[in-house]
Amino acid sequence: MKKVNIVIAGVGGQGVTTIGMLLKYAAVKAGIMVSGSETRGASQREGSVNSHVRFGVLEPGEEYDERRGIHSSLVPSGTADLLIGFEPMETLRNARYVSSNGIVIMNTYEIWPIPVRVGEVSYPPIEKFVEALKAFTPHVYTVNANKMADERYGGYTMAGTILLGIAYATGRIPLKTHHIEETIRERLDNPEENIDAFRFGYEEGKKLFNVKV
Amino acid sequence: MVSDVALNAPGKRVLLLGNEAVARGALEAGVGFASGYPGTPASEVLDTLVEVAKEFPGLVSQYSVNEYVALETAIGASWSGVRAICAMKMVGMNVASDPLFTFCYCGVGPGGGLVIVNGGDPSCISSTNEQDNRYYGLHAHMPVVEPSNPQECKDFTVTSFDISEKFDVPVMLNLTARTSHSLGPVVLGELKAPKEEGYFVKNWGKYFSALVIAVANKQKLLRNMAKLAEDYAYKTPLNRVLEGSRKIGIVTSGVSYNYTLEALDILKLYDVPILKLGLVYPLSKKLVAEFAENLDMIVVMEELEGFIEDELKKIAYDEGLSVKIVGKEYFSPAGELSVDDALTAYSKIFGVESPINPQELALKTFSFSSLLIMRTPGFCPGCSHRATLYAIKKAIEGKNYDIVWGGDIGCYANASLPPFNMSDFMVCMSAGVSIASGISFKSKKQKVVAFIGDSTFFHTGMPAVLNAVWNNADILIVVMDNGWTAMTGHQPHPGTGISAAGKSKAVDIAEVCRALGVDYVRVVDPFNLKHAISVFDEAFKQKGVRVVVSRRECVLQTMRKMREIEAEKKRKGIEEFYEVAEHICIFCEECLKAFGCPAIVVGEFEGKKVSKIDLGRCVNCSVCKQLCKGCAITHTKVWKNASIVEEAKA
Ligand code: SF4
Ligand code: SF4
Repeated sequence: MKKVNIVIAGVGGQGVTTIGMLLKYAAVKAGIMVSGSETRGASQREGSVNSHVRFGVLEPGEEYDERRGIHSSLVPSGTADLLIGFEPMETLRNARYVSSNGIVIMNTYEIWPIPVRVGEVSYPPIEKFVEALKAFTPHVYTVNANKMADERYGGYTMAGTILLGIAYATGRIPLKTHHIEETIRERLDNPEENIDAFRFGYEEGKKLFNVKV
Repeated sequence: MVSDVALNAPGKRVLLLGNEAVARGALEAGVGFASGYPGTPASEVLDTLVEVAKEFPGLVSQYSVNEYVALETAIGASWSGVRAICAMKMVGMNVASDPLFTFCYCGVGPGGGLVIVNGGDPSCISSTNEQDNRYYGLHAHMPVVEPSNPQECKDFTVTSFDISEKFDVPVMLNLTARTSHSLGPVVLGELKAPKEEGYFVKNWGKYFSALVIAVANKQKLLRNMAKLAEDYAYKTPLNRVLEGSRKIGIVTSGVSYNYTLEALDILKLYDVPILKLGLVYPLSKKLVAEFAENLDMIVVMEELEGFIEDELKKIAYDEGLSVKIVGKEYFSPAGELSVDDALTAYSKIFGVESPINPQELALKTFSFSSLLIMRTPGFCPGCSHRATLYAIKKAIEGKNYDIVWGGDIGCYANASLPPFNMSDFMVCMSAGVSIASGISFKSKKQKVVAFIGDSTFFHTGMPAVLNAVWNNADILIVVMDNGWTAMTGHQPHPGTGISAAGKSKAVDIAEVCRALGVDYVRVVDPFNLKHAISVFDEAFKQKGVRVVVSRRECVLQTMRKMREIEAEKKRKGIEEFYEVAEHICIFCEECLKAFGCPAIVVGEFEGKKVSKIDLGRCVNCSVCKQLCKGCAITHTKVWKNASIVEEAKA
């Protein structure tokens, strides 16, 4: 069984859980095995949150074998094929999950923790995060999805779906676009705008990876 | 997804959260009564049953004011012959423990199986301790069932009802946060219509627990548990053995089973014998003996205490097994376990090298730890609690008071964090009030403040307030009333005017306080800063028990209700926002540091620092404008659409 592991990291209120759930429901549509877990409960606003998504794809002709299947709802360290970071510091906080061949997509929109806001410490420059992430994998990409969302939709609400679109362009998500789009239609408020954001992100992502890879 | 939970489609594969799967299992078992008190990680069990209740006319679902009330109500349903489920988080079990022990003696009603869902929280993701409630099973003589994934959450719930009726005892379904909140596929089974009407058949010898009757009931309970352990526990498919040829075997349950299989797969160890326990208590001696037969060593992987390990060791001693049993040498009793823990332990135990080195990866992250500033959750932008705390802070400014702050469980637990640092202790629900009272009796030089939330007030706060009044405590109680049990997902409470069933009578906290004998009761709106500050100023100067109810609805709920209004505004081209007039801002940092709204950040204007409002996160609560020292914050409303302007003029 081919296991595909995805970790989505960010700050409470950014939609990390929503995007994670979306991928999981889309997997059911696609008929592949899925498992996952997310930070829930308490007032997680502004706190670190993440969502683990795990897909299990049987190779052609392979029979399901319990001992080779996906079981943990958490991604084991060093095995994530994709780390989608909604916020720079949270991306690095979850760096240990990414595999040495994994792809990191880091949104550069900063959300300052309280000690930064009250001026006790300063928020490190983005380059530092990129440099640190490169110790885990060479494939690190930065985007400013919040800026994209703001320019295109006049607000940040679509940033998560844009990031999903960009992540989809990596080719690491074993789903068809229609699986994702149908799920958006069924499960999200404002589906048309979200689908547009997903497609927009996908196109942006293609450009990004063509330039860099 | 609620609609999936209620789906009448046996055989269909849907995706459910662990908690939703438990609710589905209850529906497949024909549950007729559901109760509980919201507490993460168990909340969604009852939330789901409340939501689908309309589609199951025979099902009565209720939020209760606390866990012992919830359990006692469920016992009533069970004794009326109706299957009942009662959900709570692990600390709630302490509240419910009073009726629990006696209830185990009495047992359930005929056809009225009762399942208690316990949400455990290793790592204290949203709790004040980690207690391992499997010991309630041991202590109260109650079977403990533990699922590993959503499918098992559903299936094991159904089985738990059967066990409960078969052995005349409540069953505890033990979940941890990781099981409750993992999402996975579930193949649906047949739904069973709930019994609409129950009937309490009198049975004095069973239900009247005292003296010899209680002892006889206990003996009956022990007999039933023994039968369960010998016979049922041996055969039940809740327990499974995965065959293997090695001399070292693994016994595990719950999420630890998942981590075990995952780690063994990574290590390519496919021949380790595994005993996977679904019925964690009581254990079958025969099953254990058979599993141990050809083994030199058993490794027990389980979270928190070494519960299974101890039970196995007892059995090994009694049965004279020569197998070595280890567990807590490898797995910490503190915090959640993970695949990483399993990898580390098993690679050592089986002497195989892991292709992944979790320690090294952790260390690598650690080497960049200077970049990782701790991120504590805080109040949402526009949260009324922030305004309340700020008003209190302003009311005491310059007064040199020596104050003890009593914290409590709820969103307002964030009061303990910067910029407020206003919680000196936090123990359990409503303990803020009682502990603060105790301090006031003995520490006369200090002013004592106790925070409590609205739901907490109804949970166990009322007796605490009454006790404070009765014994003449000298405390200021601040009820942070945001109108909902907000932290666990906005469940209603007696103050909301809503019950799980719909519209209900709204009970006013200020009125209750007056009825409890509090003479000084004031209600403030924290968004009217000036007034709130003056009331707190006055309240601090009074003696005795004073209550200030600071009332303003949770901003998340307000925003939800505002969505339509906002959409309408957008359509009309109306834009409303708060902004810092950069050239006026004196950068006193009051809004930034003293108040700390997350929507306010540092910006730059003509080479100097200024405060800036992040319009993407601001919710227009107006408080920063009220407190701005430089009068630099402006409120703007624009009509972009010219025709609307015309309309407005006309
Ligand atoms: S109005 Fe001011 S205090 Fe309220 S949310 Fe916006 S920035 Fe924060
Ligand atoms: S309170 Fe007013 S003057 Fe002070 S930093 Fe904030 S915006 Fe500037």
